[in-house]
This record gives sequence, structure tokens and C-alpha cells, in this order.
Amino acid sequence: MLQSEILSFFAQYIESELGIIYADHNYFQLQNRLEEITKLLGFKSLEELHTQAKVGIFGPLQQLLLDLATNNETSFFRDAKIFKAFEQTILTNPPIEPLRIWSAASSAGQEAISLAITINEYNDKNKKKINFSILGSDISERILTKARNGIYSQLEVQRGLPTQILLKYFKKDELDRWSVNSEISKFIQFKKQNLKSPFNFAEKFHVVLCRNVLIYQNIEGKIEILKRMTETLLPQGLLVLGSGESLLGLSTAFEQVNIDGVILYRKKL
Amino acid sequence: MFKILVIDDTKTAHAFVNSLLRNVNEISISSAFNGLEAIELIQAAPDFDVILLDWEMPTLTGPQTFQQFKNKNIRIPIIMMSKKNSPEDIQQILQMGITEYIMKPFTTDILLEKIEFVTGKKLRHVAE
Repeated sequence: MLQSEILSFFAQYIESELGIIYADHNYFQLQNRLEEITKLLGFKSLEELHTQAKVGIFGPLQQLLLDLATNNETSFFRDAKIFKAFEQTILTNPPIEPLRIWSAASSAGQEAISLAITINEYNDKNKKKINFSILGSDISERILTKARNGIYSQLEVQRGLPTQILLKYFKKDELDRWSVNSEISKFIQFKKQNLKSPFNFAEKFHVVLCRNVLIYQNIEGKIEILKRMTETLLPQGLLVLGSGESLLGLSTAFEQVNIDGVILYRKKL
Repeated sequence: MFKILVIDDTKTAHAFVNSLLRNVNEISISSAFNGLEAIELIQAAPDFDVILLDWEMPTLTGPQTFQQFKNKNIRIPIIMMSKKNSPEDIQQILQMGITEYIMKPFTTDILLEKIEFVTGKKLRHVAE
């Protein structure tokens, strides 16, 4: 059997299990990792590993295969410190009106759900009733459908969610998928939005999260998106970027707020 | 040095955990194949940071091993690993006092994150 057919077999398995797509030009990475697995499990060759995999993928082989594909996957509570900073700045001093949050480039909804859980947990612990709404947006209709369904695989829910929180806010079905409770999902809406297209929101936001998105834009693109994003924020509203991102040279409309080493950007009056 | 004790009755499970943590610096991973062996290891060197404990084992199961730990006043954070994934089973384990739970199969990032969550320590890992 051709090497490429073997790689394609494993790539298809990973795509069906995780939704992660290996492009043809990344097959060499897949091959390197499969060769590691071959050695680790004591097979003589990639062909022998493939023969075994055709019989069934389970146990250590399944775990190692899934592991090789999931570096840098989106997770719940990604960069947990940001959610603590959000709690300390916004939730300790919430607006009188319902808190409006935009999770720009929300992907499959993990960030929006993490925010809703953060607020709900804060309300529970402090006997508060902060009312809120979260808008999640993404460019991909396919990923938005997943976000709207709020159903995640067992691997996905284990990324970032402590087990107690998982049990409190998600239900498991007979297919081992976990769906977020309506107690949380009722606060979240998702809509399609290309960040390069005009924004057309009915109301301005108290908080906008745009993490690890602008890194894929050139400088002109970053400046242009930030300018329009700034207009969607209320005065004193907060912009949250990814932990490695900065507004330096891109916008002067914000002042920095440092919360335990997390930098947030507050829109100037 | 960050010290991990893995308790599982199968060799492949130990090889798997070692493989997942191969890029983590400054850790030592010890292996025990049943609860009694684990207790001996802990009594000889009680400074483990975290224990990864399999549920389904012959002789002493994971929950029974945990009970033995409690009787002997062993208070190391424990992450239970199992294929069991019903919320009722997991809740029962957490109510016993076990710190965290990992449903099999899992991946490196999930394991690292759970270890960091229960110990409050940041592991040092190198990119491949």
C-alpha cells in the first residue's frame, strides 16, 4: 500500500474524531508523529501500525493518535488569567444596565460559554444578579452551527473545564457528547461576522474580546479593524486581546489596565 | 523537581503517560502497578506532587486505593483516570474527595492542564 494512502487513512480518522483537517502539505508532520507512535507501541513499521489500525483504533493507539493532532486546540477558559481579570474589573463593578459582551471570532463558542460561566459562578458565590448578554461572531457558518448547537466532544469539554464545572453546566448524551445547559446558552447568541466587513450592531458593548485574531492581519488590516471595533465599544469599555498581542502603534484610543499581569485596554472617554 | 506517581495495572498505561509528558522538564514519574505498591512508594518518599490513579484495577480498585490513602492520612492531590464517563460515576468519585477526574482517552494538553489545576504549579514544557 502506498505511504500516502496510509497517511490519508489516519488523517481521515483524525478529521472524523476531532474535526481537525490535515492539509496534504502537512502530511510530513503526520508521518513523523505516526512513526513515533509506531516505535512507542512496538510495531516494526508504519504499514504494521496501519494493519492494526484497520482492525480497530482503541486503547493506547487511540489516545496517542488523538494526542498528536490536538496541539493548540481551542479550549474553554483559554488563558484562565484573562477570565480572572475580567471578573476583577467588570464583575466587581458592573454597569447598571445589562452587561453586553462581544466575543469576536468566537469559533465554536468556548470563549462565550466560559464568560457566561464566569458570570454565573460570580453571581452564585456573591449572591449577585448581574444580568448580561453575549454575542459570539465568526466568519465560518459551519463553526457557527456548532457553536449554536452547543454540543462538544468528550475531548473538547476536557480542555479547560474543571470537572465540577463540567458536571454543573453540561449534560452528557448517549453518544458521549456534552451539551451546554440552557441556563448558560440562553444568554448567548451567535451571528456571522467577517471582521473585515462593516459592523452593524444595534447597541454598543461594555466588553469586546478579540483574542489571537489580529495576528493574522497585516498592519493596515489591524488598524482598520481596531478603528471600527473601537466604535462598537462604549466609553470606558474594555477591549481584551490575546496574551501576546498589543495595541502599540495600532491605536491611541485606549489606556492600559494591568490586572495581575494581564493587560486589558480601556477606551478613553 | 515535580514528582508524579502513576498507579495503573498495565504497562502500556505507564508508557502512555510517560510518552505524553516527554516534553515536560524537571519532572520525575514513578510507577506503581497496584494500590499496595503505591502506598509503599509513598511511605518511602511522601513528597509526590500529584497522583494519577486508574479506576479499574484488579485487587484494589482506584476508589478502594483512595480509601486506603485516606485511612493512612495520605493527602496528595489525586487525579482519577477512567473510561467511565457517566456524570453520576464522576460525581461519586469527586464526592469521595478525589481532586480531579480525567475521562479516557485524553491528550497531553488535558493531562498537563489537570495536573496544573490540582497542584497550582506551572509545569515547564518545551515545544517540539
